[in-house]
Amino acid sequence: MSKNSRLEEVRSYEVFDNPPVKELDELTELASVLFETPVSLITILDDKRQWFISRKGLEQKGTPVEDAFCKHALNTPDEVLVVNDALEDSRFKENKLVVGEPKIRFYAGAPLTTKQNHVLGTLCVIDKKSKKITREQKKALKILAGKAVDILETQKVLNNLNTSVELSTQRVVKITENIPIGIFELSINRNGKIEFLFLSNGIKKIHPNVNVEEWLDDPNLGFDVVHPEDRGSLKASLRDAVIKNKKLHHEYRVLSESGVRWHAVTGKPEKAKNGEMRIYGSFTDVTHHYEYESALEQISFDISHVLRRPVTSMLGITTLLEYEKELSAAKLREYSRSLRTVASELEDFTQKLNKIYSEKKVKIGSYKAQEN
Amino acid sequence: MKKVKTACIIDDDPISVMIAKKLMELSNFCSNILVFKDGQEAVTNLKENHASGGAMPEIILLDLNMPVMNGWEFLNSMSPILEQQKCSIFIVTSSIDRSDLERARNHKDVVDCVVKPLTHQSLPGILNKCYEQKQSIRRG
Repeated sequence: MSKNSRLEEVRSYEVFDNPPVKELDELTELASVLFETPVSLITILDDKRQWFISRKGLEQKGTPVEDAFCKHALNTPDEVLVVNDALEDSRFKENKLVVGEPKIRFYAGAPLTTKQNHVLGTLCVIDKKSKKITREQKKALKILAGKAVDILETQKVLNNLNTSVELSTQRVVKITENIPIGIFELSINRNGKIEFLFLSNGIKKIHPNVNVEEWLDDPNLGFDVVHPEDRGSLKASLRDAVIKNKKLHHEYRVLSESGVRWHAVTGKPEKAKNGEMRIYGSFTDVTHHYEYESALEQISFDISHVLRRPVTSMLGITTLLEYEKELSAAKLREYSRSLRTVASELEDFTQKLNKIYSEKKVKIGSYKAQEN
Repeated sequence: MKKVKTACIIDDDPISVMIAKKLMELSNFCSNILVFKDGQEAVTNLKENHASGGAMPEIILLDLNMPVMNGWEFLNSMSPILEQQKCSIFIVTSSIDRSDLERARNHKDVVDCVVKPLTHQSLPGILNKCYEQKQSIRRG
């Protein structure tokens, strides 16, 4: 039971400089009634001071540890320290608090003993008159001290929980603000009023030129950046998700300084306890998907129209060559000329296609760069 | 093979036209061949001919992708005349795009859709479908 580990445990309770705790104040109130003393305190001792974390009948918030009566209780976790008359006790008769204000004569303190068998401080009763107490009263003081420890421990657990919740929240905020996705929680009340309960900072990455803070006050402002032709369908699919309670996925155009971009909103509606609807989801920029898609469409168009055309011509010419009964030299030359025309057409097309696809690649690359 | 009087080719690609013409000649497909290099030229000529009381070609082989006026626009522009004339329109295209082919086959003024290149086998098929259509019109 080293001194340091006691101090560590004292600090882990984080009780110094806190506002009064009602449950502890009720204990000191009760103690002062039971023992008919004007003063009752709950004290916690660190290495320098004794702190009065609950006090009845005393203005002082603490004293230096040297003056503390409770100091003498630290090494006896099971015993109640009783001083019937401080003037007759060699340990205390010179004590500042005895000689001067508040002129202590009677003191009884039960240790606040933790599960680790450390004494944090005491629950004590103090009087200016000397006094004696019964064995039952000592027992009662111990019970009250036990209650005080229970309260302190409950508070400590709650503190730790709050801290870990706060840390988790901070972590979520940090993680989400750095990805280019706006993660949100949206509430929709019975009158159709919408409100962002959460909107991650990542939204600024996909709306770099918008004052997103304003959206938190009025989410309807978000519709202003949506392409006018897409606003109606976006609202309709939000309404659908809420009314029919189905998954939300909608892609729409957004007007930005760098031109038109494609965004997608995805979410899952849920009914909250108060009857309001919530949508948990995200906003993402999907422009490069559209670029890929249009490139694919272009490729399929080119295969089916541009490239097929000379190919069919060549096939047609070979059909004619097979079908023609008398192939004169003049006819052969004619077909050969046609074949050359077609072949050079094909050559032109492939050159052009190569150029177009290279440009597409550069364009898609630039979108990706913007998104990163 | 039972041949038709006049067939019309609307196509901007000279090689493709040359192949179709040769095949028609070799297989004794028709007596006269009209060739237009885009939809607009075809509309102007066919409408003029129609206005002066001339007969429409019995078969039109229509390409889809053409400059100035494409095949779809030609169909729209000619629709009122096509409805009252016995004229079988076949789309002849190099496109193998499924949506193009489906759209062509479902068009009310189109008898069928043939993917290029035309062959000596595809021409009789076109003639047969043309006669079937004429008979069904007569019966109807």
